[in-house]
Amino acid sequence: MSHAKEFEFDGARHASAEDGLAIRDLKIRIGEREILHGINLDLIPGQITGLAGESGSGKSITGLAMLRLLPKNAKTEGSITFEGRDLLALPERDMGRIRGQHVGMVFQDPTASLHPMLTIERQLTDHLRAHTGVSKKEARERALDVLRKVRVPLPETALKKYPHQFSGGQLQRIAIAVAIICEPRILIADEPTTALDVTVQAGVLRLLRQLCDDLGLAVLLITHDLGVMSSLADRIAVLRQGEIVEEGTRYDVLRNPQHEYTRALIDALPSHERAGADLESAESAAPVEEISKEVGNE
Amino acid sequence: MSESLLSLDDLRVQYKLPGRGILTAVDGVSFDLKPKQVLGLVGESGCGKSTLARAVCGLEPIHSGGITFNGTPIRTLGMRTRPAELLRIQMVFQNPYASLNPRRTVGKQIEDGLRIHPQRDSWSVAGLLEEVELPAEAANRFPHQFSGGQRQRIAIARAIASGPDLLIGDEPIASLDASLQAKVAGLMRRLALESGASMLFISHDLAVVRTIADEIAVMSKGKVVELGTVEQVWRSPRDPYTQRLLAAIPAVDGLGTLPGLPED
Repeated sequence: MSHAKEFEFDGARHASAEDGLAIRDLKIRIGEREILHGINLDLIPGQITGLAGESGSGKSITGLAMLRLLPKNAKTEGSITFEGRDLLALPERDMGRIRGQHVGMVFQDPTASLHPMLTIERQLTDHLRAHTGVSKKEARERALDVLRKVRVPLPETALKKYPHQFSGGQLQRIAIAVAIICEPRILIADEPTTALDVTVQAGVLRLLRQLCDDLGLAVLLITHDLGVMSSLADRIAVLRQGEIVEEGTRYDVLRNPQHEYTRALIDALPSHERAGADLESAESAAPVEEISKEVGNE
Repeated sequence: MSESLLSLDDLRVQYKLPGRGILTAVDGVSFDLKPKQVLGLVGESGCGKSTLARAVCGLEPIHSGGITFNGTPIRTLGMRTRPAELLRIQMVFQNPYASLNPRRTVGKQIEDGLRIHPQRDSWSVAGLLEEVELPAEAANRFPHQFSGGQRQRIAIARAIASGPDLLIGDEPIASLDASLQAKVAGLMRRLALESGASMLFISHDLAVVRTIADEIAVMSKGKVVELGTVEQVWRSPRDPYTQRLLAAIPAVDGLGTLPGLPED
């Protein structure tokens, strides 16, 4: 299977995978078991690439492989190209410079990914100072800046607090701030909203979209939730047992799936039809029209 | 009164916070659940829905108000053995990894349930496993040999085995893959109704709940803010909180519509 080099975009932004990150024929074997059987994936600046799949399909392993955070007995084949270099072949020293600085990561559970005994300021500035060598004062300024960007209320007070003093949604915003403070070019978000309530999730999804657009981040969004995929991802790859069975634009994959597995995943979801239908007023009528227009084109 | 199986009357449950202060987790909740009905209880974390479920099972001290099940009031369990009439309420918990005994076979644990079924020989272990779409030989295996979804189906089989009048699911689908959630929820509804039970289904996921419930109660900060038929709550929610909750559910329409409202 040759991988298509041409991309169609849902958005207007045009960019190539050379500015982002390209995964080619990535195979991962842990012990005797092959977890990934050779996948291709491109992360493009300003775009959110979705990696969908059920638990055990290998989607989290893909994210971890990009930061070389795999277990010790893991063996990799293929390449992950970033800034002209193959991350899989890089010496550990160089990888340490990339990890956290050029490639940031957000995990599912912010209560587990943040250190419970360090202040938010320490967690935001430690890696920033180690990577860039900025002064303590400047690091603090940058921390305040980034907290404003992720819209954590009262940034000055927040810096002095500890993780347990925040709600789950605020913590995930802080975890995102930790990931983007070094101004990375790639952001890996592994189930970033799965632990959150839907109303809180809505806010975090909006934030991720905005950061991607404003900062030109190339985002890899890993989630099993096709609702989240549908709201955020520009392109979607569907992973099943270590193989990408379908890849395409968000609209094509979700509205006109080619692979039976994708179709089964979509059919298994409860339909969202007519939610709040009776509430719909003139202002919200536009999207409905849009849907029927696009369905009509099929 | 006599026609409802479970009846909550102005129920209040309070917790003492460390130091000073009292948290009212359930703040004056009233509803009736009729036989062979499914009530979906929806709300976000911290709204008091799990506390409510635990109170119905006699696991939380009731501060004021009352719970009536099958005509008898439910009193808080202390260290006593669970009275026989309370065994007619069975629960399926969120985490199937924690709710099954890791050291006993699946078959043995389902047998425990069968032993307290009022009508003997109504179910067999193999029959129940078949109902939850597992092979009969699963009975000889241990919980760790199954996936999360399979384990949750075993927990459902175990709850149904004792022939409950009321099946309570406390976030039974929250730890499952999205593609499994609707299926397992549907299975719970079918088994509960086929065995003549009612179901109280607690979840934060309104989109799944509406596919299996007859009525939906929406809870926020300890209060039920909206109670109505699925159709009414889903199509024309009256309470602003319900409206916000509905707007926040991301639709799988492939259009890239961001859920929720712009200002949070």
